[in-house]
Amino acid sequence: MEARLLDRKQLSPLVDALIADCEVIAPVDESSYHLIESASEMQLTQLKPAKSPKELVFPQREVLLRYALAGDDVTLDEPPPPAVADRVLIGTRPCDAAAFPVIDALFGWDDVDAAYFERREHTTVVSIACDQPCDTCFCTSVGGSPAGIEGSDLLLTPLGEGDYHVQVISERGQSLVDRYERFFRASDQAHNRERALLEDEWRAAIEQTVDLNEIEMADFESPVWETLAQACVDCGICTFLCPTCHCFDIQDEGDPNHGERVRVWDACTFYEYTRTHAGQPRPMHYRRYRQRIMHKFRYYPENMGKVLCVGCGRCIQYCPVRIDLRAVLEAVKG
Amino acid sequence: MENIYKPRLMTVDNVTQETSDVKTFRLAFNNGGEEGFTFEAGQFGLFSVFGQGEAPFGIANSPTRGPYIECSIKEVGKVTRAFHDLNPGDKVGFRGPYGRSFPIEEMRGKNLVFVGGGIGLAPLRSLLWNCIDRRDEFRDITLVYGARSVADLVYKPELEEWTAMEGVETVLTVDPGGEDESWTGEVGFVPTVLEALQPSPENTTVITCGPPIMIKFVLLSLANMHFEPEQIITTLEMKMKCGLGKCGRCNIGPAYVCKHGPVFSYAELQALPEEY
Amino acid sequence: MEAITENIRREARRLLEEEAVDVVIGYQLGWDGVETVPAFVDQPAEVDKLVYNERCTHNLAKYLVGREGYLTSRFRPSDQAVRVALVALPATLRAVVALLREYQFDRADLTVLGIVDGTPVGLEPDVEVGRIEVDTAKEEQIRAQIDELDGMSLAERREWWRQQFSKCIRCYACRQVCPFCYCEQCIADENQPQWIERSPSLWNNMGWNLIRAYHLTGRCSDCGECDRVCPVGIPLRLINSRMLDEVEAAFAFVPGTDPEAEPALAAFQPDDTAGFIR
Repeated sequence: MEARLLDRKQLSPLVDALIADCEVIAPVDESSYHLIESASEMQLTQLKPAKSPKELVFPQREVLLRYALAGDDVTLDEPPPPAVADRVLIGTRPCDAAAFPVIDALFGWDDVDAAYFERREHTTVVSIACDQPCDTCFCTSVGGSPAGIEGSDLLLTPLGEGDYHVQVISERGQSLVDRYERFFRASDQAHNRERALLEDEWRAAIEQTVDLNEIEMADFESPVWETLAQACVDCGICTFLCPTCHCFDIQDEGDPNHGERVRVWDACTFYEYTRTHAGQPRPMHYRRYRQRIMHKFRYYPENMGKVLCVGCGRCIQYCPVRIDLRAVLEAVKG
Repeated sequence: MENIYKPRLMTVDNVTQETSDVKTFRLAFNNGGEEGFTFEAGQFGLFSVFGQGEAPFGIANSPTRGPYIECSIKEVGKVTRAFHDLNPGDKVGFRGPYGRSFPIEEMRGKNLVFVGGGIGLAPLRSLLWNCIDRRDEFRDITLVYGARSVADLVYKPELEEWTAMEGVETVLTVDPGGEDESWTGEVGFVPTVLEALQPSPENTTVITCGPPIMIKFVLLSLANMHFEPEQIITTLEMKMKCGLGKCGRCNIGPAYVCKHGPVFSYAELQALPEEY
Repeated sequence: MEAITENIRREARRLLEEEAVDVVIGYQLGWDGVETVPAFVDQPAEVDKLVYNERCTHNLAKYLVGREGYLTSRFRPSDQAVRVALVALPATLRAVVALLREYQFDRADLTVLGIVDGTPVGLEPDVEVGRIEVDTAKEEQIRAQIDELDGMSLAERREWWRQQFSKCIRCYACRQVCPFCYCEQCIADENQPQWIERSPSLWNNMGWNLIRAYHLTGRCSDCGECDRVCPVGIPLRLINSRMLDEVEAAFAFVPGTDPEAEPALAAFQPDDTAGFIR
C-alpha cells in the first residue's frame, strides 16, 4: 500500500469531510478524546489527553444485559450489539494506537467479547506521530516508537515543509484514503526517507529509557518491591488512564424490579479488588503494586506474548506521588 | 455473536439447609437447557441472583447425576445472603461450566484419598460421586472429612451413605470440643486424623479442599508421609467476576484461577506466588 | 528553600542516629530530578536525599493513618507503633492536630518537623525547620473562584457542578491522598447496601463527590491535594474550601487550629439547641 502525502492545511478540511460521513473522535483538550462536530474542536498539542482512547472499545460502563423481575419470574434482555456507527479516531498517539492489538489478545482469549470487537471493527485509527515526546514518554523502551504503526490504520507523520507523510498500514486505512483521495497526493522516495530520518530523531529524543530486552523480573520476594511502592496510595489513576489496563468488575444496578448488569472499570491497586470474606490475598499497597507490574511485564507476556504496556507515560505523569515506572523497571529488571 | 456474559436462567428446585450458614441449592434447567450441557467434576460456574450480583461456586454434583446443577453456598456477604433468601421456584442465573476440572482420567487405576474440611467438601463431592459411579476404574477410595463441630458437617445424609458403602472407606472427624453425645466418629483435626491413617503414597492421588489452615497442615502431613507434590490435587477459591480470564481478578502469577484452575496440583501451586 | 532542606537533613540525621525515630517521612526528588515525591528515610546515611522546595505539596499525614497502615514492619517490629518524624507543611500540621483529635495515632510516636507560614496551627512543631510565605496569589485566585460560584443562581451553580462531576472517573485519587479518608470501609465500597453504585454515571458521581465533601466538613485541612491530583481537572478545592467557610461561620471553628476545640461536627453538648441530637 503506497504512502501518500497530506498538506497540513488539508487536515482540517479532511476532518470536516469525515464528519459529514461518519463519527469522528479526536483529542479535544487535556482530558480526553471526544466526539467532535467540527474540525475546529480538534486540539493537537504536545500533551496527550489524560484519558486514553481505550474507552472507545472498552467503555468504562457497559451494559451486559438487562433483567426484569416479576414475582418469581425473570426476563433477560440483551442490549442489542452496540449500535456502533462507523467512526474515525483521528489524532491518536502511536502509543495509544499500539494498545489496541495488545488488548485484542485478551478480549479474544477463548471466549470472544463480541461487543468489544464490534467496536474495534467499526473504528478506523488515524494516528499522528509525536514530533515532541513528553519527558514521561518511554514508548521506545517497550518496543514502540513516536512514529510507530502498530494498531493504526493510517499514520500521519509531520514532515518539515508543511506536509504530513501518510503511511497506509491496513485495508481500512486504504479505503479511507481511496474514499477521500482528493485530499491526498502521492509520496516519493525523498519524502519516505525524510519520514524515516525524522522517526530516528524523535526516537533519540526520548532520553530516559529502560533497556527491557532481557527483562527478567526481580525475585517476587525481593524487598525492593516494598521500597519502590512505599509512597503508593492505592488510587486508580494509573490503571484508569492506562491504554492497556483492562481489569473490570461486574455489578447489578437498578431497583428491586428491574435493572442492568453492567461491566465497569476496576483496578488491581484498589484494596477491595481481591478481598473476600475468606481473606485478603494482597494485604499492603506494595503487594498490589507488585501484582500490577508483574502482570504487565511478566504474566501477560507469558500468556499473550505481548507486554501490557505501550510506554505512554501517563502513569508517571499523573501519579499523585510520582512513582516512576521507569525507575521501578530499572530496579526490578534483574 | 454470542454474549459471553449472559447467563442461562435456571429454577431453584430444592434447598437443603446443611448447617446454620450453609445451604445446598439444586437448580433445574429451564426450557430444555440441559440439551447439550456437559461439565466435568471440579469445574465451577458464575451463579447470580438478578439485582444482587454474581459469584463463583463450584458445581457440587457429579456429571454422572442430573440433569441439574447443585451448589453449596455459605452465607458471608451480599450475593450469598441473596441466595439464602431464595425459595424453590425462584429463578437464578448460571454461566459456565468454567475452569479446569479434576484430572479424573489420570486418576484411573490409582488409590484415591479425599481430604476435606468444612464446606471444602463441596467440590470434592462432585468428584467423589463421579468416581463412585465409575467405581471399577479406581483402586481404593478413602474419604477423610471433618469440620469444626458436628453441626458444621455438610451433606450429612451422604456422609452416612458413604460410611455404609463398601467401596469407600470413610473417616469422619470433628475438632476437639466439636463432638456431641451421639458422635461416633473421630475427634481431632483433619491433618492429624489423616496422618493417623498413614495412607501409602504408592500409586495414590490425594485430592484436598478446605480452609487454608487445614490445607497448610494437610500438606505438611502429606510431606511427612512422603507424598510428592504432583500427587496432591487441590482446588482454589479466589475472588472472581467474569470466569472468562478477562477481568483480571483471579490472576495469580501467570495463572488465571478461572482458566488454568481452579484445580491445581500442589506442584503447580508451588510455582505460583502465595497470593491466595 | 535550601536552608529548609539543610534543616530537615540535619534533624533527620540526628533523630535517626539517636534512634529517637524509626523513619523520617519527608520529600525527595523523583527519578527525573525535578518532581518531588514522598520519601521514607530510615537510615542516617540516606538523609541527604531529603529535600524541600515549592513542589512539595503532598500531605504526608496520609501515611500515618489507614486500615493497613503504610508503615510496615521493616521500619519497626510489627507489634509496636512506628515512631515517625514527619516533615509537616502548614496544612499537614493542621491535619495532624485534627487527626490527633480523632485519636488516629499517639502524639508520643510523632516528631513534628514543622514548616510554618504564620497562619494559626494548633500544634507546636517539635522542631521548626522552616518558614515559608503564604501563597497569597493562589489564595486570592481560589477566593475569587468561590465568590464567582457563590454569585451564581442555584440553578447555574448546580449545572456548573454537574458538568464537573460528569467528568469524574471514580479513580478515588482524591480519597486516597486525603489523610482524613481513613475509613476501614469507605461508603463507596460498601455493598450491603450499595449506597453508591460503582459506575460513573452523573448521579453516582455526584453521590460520591458530595458525600466525600460532607464527610470532610469540619475536618479538612485545606491542603488542596485532592484538587491537584484529580486527573480530569475537577476543582475539588472549591467545595472543600467553601465548606470550611460554612463551618467557620456556623461554629466559629477552623479544623486544626486549636487542639482544645471540639471538632464541630463530631461532638455535641447535652444542651445543644437542635433537639434531634439530645
